[in-house]
Amino acid sequence: MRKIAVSFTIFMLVIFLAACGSSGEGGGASESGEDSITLAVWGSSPAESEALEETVTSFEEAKGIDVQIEVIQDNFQDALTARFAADNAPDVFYLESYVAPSFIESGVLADISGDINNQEDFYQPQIDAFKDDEGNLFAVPKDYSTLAMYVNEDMLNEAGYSVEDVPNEWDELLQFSEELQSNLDDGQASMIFDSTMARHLSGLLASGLDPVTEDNQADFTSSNEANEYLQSIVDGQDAGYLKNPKIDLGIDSAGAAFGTNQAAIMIEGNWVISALNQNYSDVSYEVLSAPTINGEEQSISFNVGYAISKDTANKDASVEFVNYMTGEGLQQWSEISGTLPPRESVAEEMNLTENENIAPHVNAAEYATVWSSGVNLPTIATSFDNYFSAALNGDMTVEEAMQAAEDEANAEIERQQ
Amino acid sequence: MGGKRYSNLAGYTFLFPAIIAIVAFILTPIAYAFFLMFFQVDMLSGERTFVGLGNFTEIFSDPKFWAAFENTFKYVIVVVPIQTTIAMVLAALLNSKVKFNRAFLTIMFIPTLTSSSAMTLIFMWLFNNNGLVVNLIDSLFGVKMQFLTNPDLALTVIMAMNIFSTVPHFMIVFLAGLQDIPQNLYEAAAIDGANKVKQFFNVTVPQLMPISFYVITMGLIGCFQIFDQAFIISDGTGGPQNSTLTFTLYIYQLAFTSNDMGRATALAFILGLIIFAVTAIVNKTLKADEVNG
Amino acid sequence: MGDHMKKNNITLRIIVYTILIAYSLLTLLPFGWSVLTSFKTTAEIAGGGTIFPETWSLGGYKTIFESQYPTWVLNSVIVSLVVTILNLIFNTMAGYAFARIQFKGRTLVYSAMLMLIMVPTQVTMIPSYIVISDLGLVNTHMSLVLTTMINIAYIFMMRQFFINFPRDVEEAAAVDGLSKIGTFFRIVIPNALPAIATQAIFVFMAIWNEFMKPLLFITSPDKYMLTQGLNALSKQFMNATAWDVIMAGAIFSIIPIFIIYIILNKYFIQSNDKTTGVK
Repeated sequence: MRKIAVSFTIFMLVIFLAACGSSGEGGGASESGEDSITLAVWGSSPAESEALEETVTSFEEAKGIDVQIEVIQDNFQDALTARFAADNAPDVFYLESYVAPSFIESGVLADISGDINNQEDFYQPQIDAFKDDEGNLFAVPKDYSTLAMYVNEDMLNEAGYSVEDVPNEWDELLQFSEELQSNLDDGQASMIFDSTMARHLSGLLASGLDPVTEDNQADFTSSNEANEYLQSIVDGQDAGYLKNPKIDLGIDSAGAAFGTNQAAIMIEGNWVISALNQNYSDVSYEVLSAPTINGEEQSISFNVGYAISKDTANKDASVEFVNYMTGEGLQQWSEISGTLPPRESVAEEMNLTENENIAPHVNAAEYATVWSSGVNLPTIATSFDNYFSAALNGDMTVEEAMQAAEDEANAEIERQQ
Repeated sequence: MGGKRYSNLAGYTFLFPAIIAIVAFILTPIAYAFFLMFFQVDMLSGERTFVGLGNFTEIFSDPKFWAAFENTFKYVIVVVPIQTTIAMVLAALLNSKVKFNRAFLTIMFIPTLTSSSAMTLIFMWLFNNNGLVVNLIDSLFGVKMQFLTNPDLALTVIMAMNIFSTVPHFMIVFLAGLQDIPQNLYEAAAIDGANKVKQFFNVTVPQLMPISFYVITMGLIGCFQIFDQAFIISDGTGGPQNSTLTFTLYIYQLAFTSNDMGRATALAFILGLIIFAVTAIVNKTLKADEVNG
Repeated sequence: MGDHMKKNNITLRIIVYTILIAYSLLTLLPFGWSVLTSFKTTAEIAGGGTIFPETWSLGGYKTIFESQYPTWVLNSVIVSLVVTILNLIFNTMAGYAFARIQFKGRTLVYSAMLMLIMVPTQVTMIPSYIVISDLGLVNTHMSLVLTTMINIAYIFMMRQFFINFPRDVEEAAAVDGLSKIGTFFRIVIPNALPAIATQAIFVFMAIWNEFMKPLLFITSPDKYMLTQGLNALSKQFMNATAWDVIMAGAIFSIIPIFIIYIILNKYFIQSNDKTTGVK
């Protein structure tokens, strides 16, 4: 019996020694000085992965700095938070504009206000999303996506309409959808919609409501027009000419519903283009600007930037990398990945506005609302989503739902103080 | 042999590897997390301010806590008894010298192999407003049931999904337990004139009690910690109106939406206590440890 | 009376088979659906329409085989096997100690362990990462092995099995002069095979399907576990999930589990001529 106990002890020791042995290798790489940086990114499409690899290789050849790419497949934010908590943050990493304010407030990002070349060349809303209240810059956009209106030509023609018939004003668009719906099959939707705040922030703003007040509180109740805007969505769903792809059609994405001729109109980001071209090549469509609301041009922009961790041991190399990826290397990245360049000069160089499907997205870069609004936006948006769905299923009126959402969000913000 | 001291030595020798691993990789993270429940913490920067029991008072004053409380309990009360009963009955049937029992066992094991994302997709496909089940009910009864938007029905769909995928797991545990029941107990019961059904209630159920306690406890833990399905069906919001908000979804929101790890761990601690209390009550009621031990 | 018994028996049998067949069909449905779906094109799956593929496509399988799939399978097989073996030894020993050895502090240690599984993982994820990072184990398979080498749930399960275990055999062994460890390996284990087989299949499955830990701990593609790799493949487009790839991957990823399951299957239902639990 003692023999066995001893062999177990030895066994355990072997495991721990093996563990420590491999730790030596792991620790070495990240501290090998100025000439190597780590870059954390999330998993994305094959085109984006290829674009990243090629642009990074160009950078390595041009500058002689080694870049180690670490792909975090899923739950990027959680994994990144874990790495910061363990003082093991990557030197450079992707940062969404949506969470940028909380990263900036936590003080974990390097201030790069003076380090980035040619800042005035960026579309200003795109780069402003990564600044704090004093205007200091903490990340640089690498690309952005805006919402535009996709119209399915075949479905429209079959129902006896053409693309020119589609109005570009919200209320008229709804009327048109209602009319169109009566000429469609049961399982088809005239227009599909998304019920989250991330898709309606610009609509609310155009209706005179800023859901995030100056002192970072929630406000969903101060504008009647905003309620009317939300009511128009509820009415559309009740009448059946607005459908939710998941709930009403059982399809997990808008692009898939559109691509399989189950939806005639959708308001989506340019990310659907690659899916439409590759997986649903049969569908013929046109892209128009997102409809105006109360006479205002509106769209939402989702953008992603490169941020540098404050505690990096390789700040110079990191800055050089970010400058390259959002400067010299930007066109290479944008062309291979199919994403939109946040620099006007690059967009011009690539003649993007000459492509009819892409032009509406690029034009929106000037006026789109960036999906980012202070540290409390995640809390405020969660409350909106939680209660707007109650208005959609008829459990509450829009007024009740918005009051409840506002109360819940503000109570939660109060608790966070 | 050495008596008491020998027993102590033997006991800890048997436990040694487990204790080392648990202390290093389970207890340490939990202790660290629980240390945070007395602080307001920013995980990113590591800054923390001591708030004492502040996180707890905030949780109890939050209507979302009570919504999560109600939803989770509803879920547990429905799912645990149903899944335990189905698993036990199926195990007993498979063990009762039916023909092809191996084939049945193999087929029934399959749901545990189907990934949860595939399972969710299938359920979405079946239960969406234009899907198979909804259309079937519509054509049979003329009622349009909105499974995914009606909160009560959405919760029912999640429950069905969970029962469906956990039953095979517990069924196999029960089956393994059935192999340990001495055959002579059944023979004795048969001599006393008990039929198969009576034998099931008089021999199988009491003999399986320790295993049932295991299945019920793990079922309770699994149900109290229900996360994936609730997250998927509500896109992480817990809506509409918090009707699909569960404890763990609420913990997740606190930790990652509100960036408030202190409150999240305080809630995790409360949840741990609730599960422990419920399990202790079940254990006392079933007298699970007193069968042969 | 004999006749009555027989009739009763036949009715009972019909009920039993009906339940078993009905439930089997119910469980086969989603699986069959997954298999068929793996042969559809991404576009057709989104359409949601028919049960059988309109055009049979091997696109999903092609994507998988053009990737680093073999490496990921190998990683998963090695890690899962090592973890399963460690779990079987350690969990079974610990479960046995809690059920059968009277030692000081038994109830206390046991209750403490049980309490640990009641803590939800959402809050321990980041602290776990901190521990692994402090040990310098990020991006090593050792991180996965160390954090999963024991499983309290199965210690608990083994304890429940051993409580039910007839005592007389061990007592006889003790009289014969075998030590506790000797009794454990020579007498207890051979008689606990159904429980150990159950544990083996579930532990293997748990680590094989583990998602969060590889996601946090492993960062380079050549060290990915299979689930992680498949997840990477399925993210083809930001807004359209490639279900054909997911399904094809899922089907391939269950093959090893199925093999292990078939091997262990015989322990779940032992031959019916056995009269007592122990002989």
